[in-house]
Amino acid sequence: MRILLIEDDAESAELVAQALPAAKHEVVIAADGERGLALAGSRAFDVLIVDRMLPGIDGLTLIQRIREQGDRVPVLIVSALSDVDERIRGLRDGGDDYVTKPFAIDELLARVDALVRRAGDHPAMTFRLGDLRLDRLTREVTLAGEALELKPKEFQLLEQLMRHHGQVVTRSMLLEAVWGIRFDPGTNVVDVHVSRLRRKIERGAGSPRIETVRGAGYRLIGPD
Amino acid sequence: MLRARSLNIGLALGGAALLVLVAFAVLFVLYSGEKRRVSHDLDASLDVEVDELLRIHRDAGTGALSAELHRRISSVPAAVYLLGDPDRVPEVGNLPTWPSDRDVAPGASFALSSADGLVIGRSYRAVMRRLPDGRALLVAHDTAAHEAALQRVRSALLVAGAIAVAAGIAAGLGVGLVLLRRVRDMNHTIVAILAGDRQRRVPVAEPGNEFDHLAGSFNRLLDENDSLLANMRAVTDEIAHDLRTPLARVRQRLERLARAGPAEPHAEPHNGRVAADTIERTIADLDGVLATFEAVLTLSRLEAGAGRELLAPIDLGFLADVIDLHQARADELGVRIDVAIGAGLRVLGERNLLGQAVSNLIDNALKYGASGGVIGVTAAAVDGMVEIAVSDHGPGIAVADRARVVRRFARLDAARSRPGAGLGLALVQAVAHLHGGELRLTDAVPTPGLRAILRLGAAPPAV
Repeated sequence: MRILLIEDDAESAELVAQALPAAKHEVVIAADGERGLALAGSRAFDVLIVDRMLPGIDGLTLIQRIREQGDRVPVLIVSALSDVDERIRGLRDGGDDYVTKPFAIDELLARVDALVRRAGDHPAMTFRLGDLRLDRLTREVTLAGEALELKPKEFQLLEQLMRHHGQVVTRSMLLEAVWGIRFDPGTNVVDVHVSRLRRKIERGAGSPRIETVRGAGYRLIGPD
Repeated sequence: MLRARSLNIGLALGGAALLVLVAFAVLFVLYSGEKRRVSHDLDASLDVEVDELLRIHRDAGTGALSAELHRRISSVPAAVYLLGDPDRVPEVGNLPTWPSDRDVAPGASFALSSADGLVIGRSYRAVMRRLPDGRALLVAHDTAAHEAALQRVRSALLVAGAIAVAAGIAAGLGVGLVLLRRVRDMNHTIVAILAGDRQRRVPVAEPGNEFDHLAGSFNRLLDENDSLLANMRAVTDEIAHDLRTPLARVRQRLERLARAGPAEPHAEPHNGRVAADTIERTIADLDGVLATFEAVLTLSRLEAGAGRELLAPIDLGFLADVIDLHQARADELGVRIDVAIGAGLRVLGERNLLGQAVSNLIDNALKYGASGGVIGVTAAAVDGMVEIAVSDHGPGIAVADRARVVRRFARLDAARSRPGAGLGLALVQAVAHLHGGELRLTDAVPTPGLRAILRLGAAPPAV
């Protein structure tokens, strides 16, 4: 994956670049908006990570310019501004996701992966992993042919995990996608839901497993 | 437009100027009227005399007229008579020559002065008529008396004008003194308060006039300011604890790590574990600090009114998602959630903030009221407002504590569970206020237990 990181704080940029596994990712760093814009225009990247506060052109203006050029590359906005309206502004101005500082690096990684996958695929109508089959149209879930009783939110939870199977999905991503919630509920509510879902789907050798990635979130992996 | 440095002088000058203008307008009208009247009188008396003389001439002839003219000349000192032939050569009269031609309408009066051969210093009003035989008759009256009368009127009017000016200035000053003294007093009080005498308030009379209303509003502003300052102080004290404690731990741990000498070969794995453990705990502490910071920041901004512009009519149906979020935990605790959200209820609000407030209330209910076995979440229209209520049947909150728990960092128990945990109800209240509503804490029915009610303004139903 080719990532363009536009961040003026050198140390932060280094830390993020180092955290992105070198084997999977090639990271290019631009220290200001002008350079970022030039680089984005000259080479093809899979995803841009843009700091909102940049010297020269600010992050949002930069994203608008990129969009004006017709570039649909996924953009993750990083910002110290956590207001709801700032987030709305960022997404309206052309960003695809928004992460506030300070963030856990896993959060950033998970969202970058999700963005790239989302941009690439047209989600199928059914997801299949091991013996588990989820039909998005009929809202049916079967495990080895046998129907599973899932509550609506459990279905949505599983849908998210299956859609991003193999990738880390953070708690905040799940809160947003399944419950439409953008605040921190303060307790381990998501964990409890995931445990319940786990009990329902992890039965037998052919079923996928929901792995807890410590400090990050969850990952659905297929049976070995 | 000049601005007077003192409103007082400005008012006085303005008042005076206005009064003077009005006064002089009135005086001018009066004077003009009087002048016209005087002129009219003069002309009238002239006409009367001329008509008399004309009658004498008509009835008794020129001789009789001449005789009459002689008689009047000697007996009426203030009049001028002149009878001339058709060529205007004087025949009888006390004017040496015929006055030069004036461009006057026939029969209209005109002025005579020393230029026409009269005594210097006196002025006359004259009228001239043609007799049937072609002769010309001129009669003039001294205007001195009339002038004097007009002068008296003029003097009287000027005195009146001067009185008006004085009255104007006095009124302006008077108004200024009375009104502006109040303003000055208020200003002095406010200056004293700002200089440090913070307990003082501006005096207000009941029921009071507009100045008292202003004073009342200002006092309320001062009260609000004081409360904000008090809040800030409280926050600073409590933040000091909640932030310094974990930060102190972090510091000490890192110091210890730094002090640890070069590891002995066999102690390597142990030291490695210690380091990893230290780092993990440090991250946890820093996360805690961040959570506190985040919560305080959110709360401060809410209390300052940030986000009010985001309020829009929203349907309360989304609360079902918020409730569902806590459902799994409720199930684990063996607590049932009874939900009754009225259909089509709309409030003017912000989805995220409201969601967080209700989530906090449910979280509290599960945390403190799980022993009751059931919690209730309802939303209904009550008295034109919308009430969202979360109730539990745990121990509840004593009435005496209810004011305290909505303050920041208040804890129901001494145990400090999670950093930022003490901000739950404070945040709910701040959200309520931002939405123009309030948070009410009451007893659950049946007792024991707590019923927390978010009262919000309703939004009109969607069309």
